Amino acid sequence: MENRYINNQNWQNFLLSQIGKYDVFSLFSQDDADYNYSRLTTQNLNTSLIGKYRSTIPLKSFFFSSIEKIVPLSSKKQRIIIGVKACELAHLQLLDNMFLGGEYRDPVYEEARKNTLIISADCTSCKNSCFCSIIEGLPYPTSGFDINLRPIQNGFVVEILSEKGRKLIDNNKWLFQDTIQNHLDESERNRTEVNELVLKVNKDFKFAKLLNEVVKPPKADLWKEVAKECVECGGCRFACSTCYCFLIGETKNFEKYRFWDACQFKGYARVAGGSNPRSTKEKRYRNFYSCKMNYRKENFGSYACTGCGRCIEVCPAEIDIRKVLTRLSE
Amino acid sequence: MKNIYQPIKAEVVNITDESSNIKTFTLKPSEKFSFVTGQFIEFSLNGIGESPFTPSSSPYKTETIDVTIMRAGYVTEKIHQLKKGDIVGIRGPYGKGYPIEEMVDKEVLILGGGVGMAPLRSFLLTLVKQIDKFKKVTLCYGSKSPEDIIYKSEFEDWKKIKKLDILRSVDKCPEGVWKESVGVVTCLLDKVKVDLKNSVAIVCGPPIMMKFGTKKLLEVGFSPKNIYLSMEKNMSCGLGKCGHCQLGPYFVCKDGPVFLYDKIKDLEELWD
Repeated sequence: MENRYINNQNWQNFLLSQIGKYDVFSLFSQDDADYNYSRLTTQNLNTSLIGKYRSTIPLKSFFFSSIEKIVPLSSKKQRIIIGVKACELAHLQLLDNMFLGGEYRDPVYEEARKNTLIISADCTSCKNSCFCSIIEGLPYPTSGFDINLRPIQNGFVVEILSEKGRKLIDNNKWLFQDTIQNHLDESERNRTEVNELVLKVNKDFKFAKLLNEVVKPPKADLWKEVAKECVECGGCRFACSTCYCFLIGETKNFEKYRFWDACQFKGYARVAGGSNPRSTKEKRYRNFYSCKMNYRKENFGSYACTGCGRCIEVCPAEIDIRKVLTRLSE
Repeated sequence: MKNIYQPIKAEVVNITDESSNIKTFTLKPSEKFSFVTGQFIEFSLNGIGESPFTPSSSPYKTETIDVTIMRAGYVTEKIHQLKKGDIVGIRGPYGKGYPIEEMVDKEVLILGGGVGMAPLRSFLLTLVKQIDKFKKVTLCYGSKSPEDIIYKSEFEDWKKIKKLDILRSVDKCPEGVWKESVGVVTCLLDKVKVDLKNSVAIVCGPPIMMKFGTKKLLEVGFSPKNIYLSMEKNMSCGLGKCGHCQLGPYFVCKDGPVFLYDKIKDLEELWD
């Protein structure tokens, strides 16, 4: 992959030159330990961050909002999102499968995707809830971005993957320099360190490699026990960037909106007349594990879980998907 | 960009009362609209909502589409208040219909219950149009009572069609008013003679009837590879996107609604 080097000062200049041309979104620190995406302005530019790890709010919000109009269509402004992490790029790949795959392409998602340039970044640390490295992932991006930043001392190694990314760099080429071997060596060391950190944080979780097989057996008692603590708030489903379910609502003039929905809600699968295919909490709970680990794997070739750990963080009942998967693997 | 969620407008040109809670609405789409029998549409009421229905008219009739709807929930309640001349929205058609070509030169056994007769009427009319292509067509139809039978007047015409046998049952009725069978629809299967080696069965009805109907067909000797089910789930977008009609690894809206029983027979939640 082609790469360049940019120092911190030039990176700030680069960002400054994009404000106005694009809607630029960057990570900002929130309550010391967390990050969230906000619009970049000339005022907040100096507090903008690449982030040590992923944001609190899921990336899907940019492409599939919690509430959005789907009829009639509206156009979206060109934008850049900065600081996207590897787990989130994997989320996007999974959402692409759902919204753009198959016979029909979702026009609302496609428009948002088309008009967005993604500048991702390597993780430089991890949260206690992060577990990408033990579920087919890595804490640094290898695909799915336009430009990737590999943080090193005083700057970044800049990887260029897409044509869109190349144009952006070319338009600002005086800010970038050639990479030297020392930059790459330093970055490789960082990557190895963070990966080892993720493995260390997760050393107590031992789940089977074939998670699609793990969730298949009925194990009714186990599901009941696991779901016991669940209060069905739907928080984990909304925080999950691979959850794509939505409800369609209507207003006057045949206008339609869609809202995030979750298979954990009791009324989700109910049909007119009252029949409900998943009438109990454990059936619904199991369905979401089956969807993530089995059905999506069968239909698209990968688990619909990238180890971002947002579901663990958001759960008021402190349910930890890693513990559940470990128990199911026993 | 084409908007897959955009309905086209259609005018309600006729309304037929079928039973106390079932009506057939004849719609005239504002644009050309065609479907394969067994596929479904999303019926959209301005400001109210959308619901999925399988057209009950023949796909050969292209000017208008019939949709037979039971009053069963919020949207259907409002649909039942429609009047002639009202404008509604329709999207589709969606999903996979009945594989008619695979039934050629075979005996076709249709097992239907209640408002499940709606898609089966479309299917039956499709077969009747080319009846010479099939060995024999048998319709077994069950309803709760004689009053609950839909398409009452049409049955008289269908009875005259050669190569089409019709057997009907009602769950219960006062003595003397019903000359045909009494009992749940599966009892009709004991009276039907089929060449099992050369037959396919089509089932559509309420979930409980589908379950026991399929069980009975298997008992009679049908292979799971010769039974087709019209599944009903909460098909909301119709496009395989929104997730609501998930049935194991499938979406009923795009992988169905017509499924070969063999394909889904091992799914734990099949009859839930």
